[in-house]
Amino acid sequence: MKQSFKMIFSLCLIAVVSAVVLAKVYQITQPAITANEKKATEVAVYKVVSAANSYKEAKIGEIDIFKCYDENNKLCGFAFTVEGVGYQDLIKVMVGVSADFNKILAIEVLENSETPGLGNKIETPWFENQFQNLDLQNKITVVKGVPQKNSEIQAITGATISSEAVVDIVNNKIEELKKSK
Amino acid sequence: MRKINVLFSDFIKGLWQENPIFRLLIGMCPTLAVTSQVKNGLAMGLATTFTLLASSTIISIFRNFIPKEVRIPSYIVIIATFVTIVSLFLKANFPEISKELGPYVPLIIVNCLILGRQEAFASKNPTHRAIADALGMGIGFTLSLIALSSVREVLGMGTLLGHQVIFGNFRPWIIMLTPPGAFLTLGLLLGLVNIINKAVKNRKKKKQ
Repeated sequence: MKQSFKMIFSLCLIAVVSAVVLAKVYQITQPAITANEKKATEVAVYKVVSAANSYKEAKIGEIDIFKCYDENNKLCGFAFTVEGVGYQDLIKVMVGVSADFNKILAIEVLENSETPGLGNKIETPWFENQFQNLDLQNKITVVKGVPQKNSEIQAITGATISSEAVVDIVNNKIEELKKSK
Repeated sequence: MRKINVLFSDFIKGLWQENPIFRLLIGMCPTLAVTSQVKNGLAMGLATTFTLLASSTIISIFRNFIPKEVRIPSYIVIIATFVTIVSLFLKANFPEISKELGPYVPLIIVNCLILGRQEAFASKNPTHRAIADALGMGIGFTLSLIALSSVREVLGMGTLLGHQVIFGNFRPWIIMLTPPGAFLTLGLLLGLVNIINKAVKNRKKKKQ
């Protein structure tokens, strides 16, 4: 009886101390973490719509979107996040499109847990830059080898699934946005 | 003087004689998973070293308070607390590194190197010796991860810490970046360590 009481007591004590310590650390670090996340979004929006000088959160249909304005307060494009399943886990991408919705301005991969050295090359400038100025009249497609048309993306060697995943989730969201516009 | 000698041997054994990866073969999970690039291996090694050092210190201080029947859950709670602190700290101060390591940081909790050292050493020895042991094991672990990830990054990408080191007509061996590449490299390095140990032993015998 005495022994089991000692066991329960010490385990509870350790758990309580641990909970208090963690709550305190969480409280201290939380503002910085939220600020980091907000800053990351901000940086990404300005990166994918490079002409933007300010942006406003808005909605198209059910979808959250950032309306971007240039120096003269003229609408210069939209930015929005898309996410979907990649080869291993969720991929999150920020996409910038022109104000008339005719072409992609740029994309930026925000989060991914693809295979290091293979799939995670989706966040390299080489892969992201391929999306610049892509025509949105047609669906974007993935090819192995050098792209011929202005709606084609070259797949990453050894990571076709990750490359296709990015293209698919971008395509789907744009399709959805076009419909609800 | 004797005291310092004991501390030194507690520390130094983690580097080679009882190196966690190449001699004890523990902590294999992060070893195989994150060593495709030197940068990740190094960050993982440092995060593990910090967690090991902090948990060994605390557990060694309270070693007489924790009943031995519930020692494993107690250790895990203490280790998990430190890992969560590391994870929050990285997110708040180094968001770039935190993003790079992703899910591997919380997985430090289940690295059996940490639990293993608590069970084998920190729970039975005074605090100063536990700290020396944790430092030696942590640094040995970090150096081993660097060795493994160097081989894999150079052969798999032709780079070292992101800098191009192989020039000319070299085609990267993609397999080195995948799990089979991790097993191959680990096996070959283990063989190499065994050969060196054998050679050293033979030389000692001859001298006698």
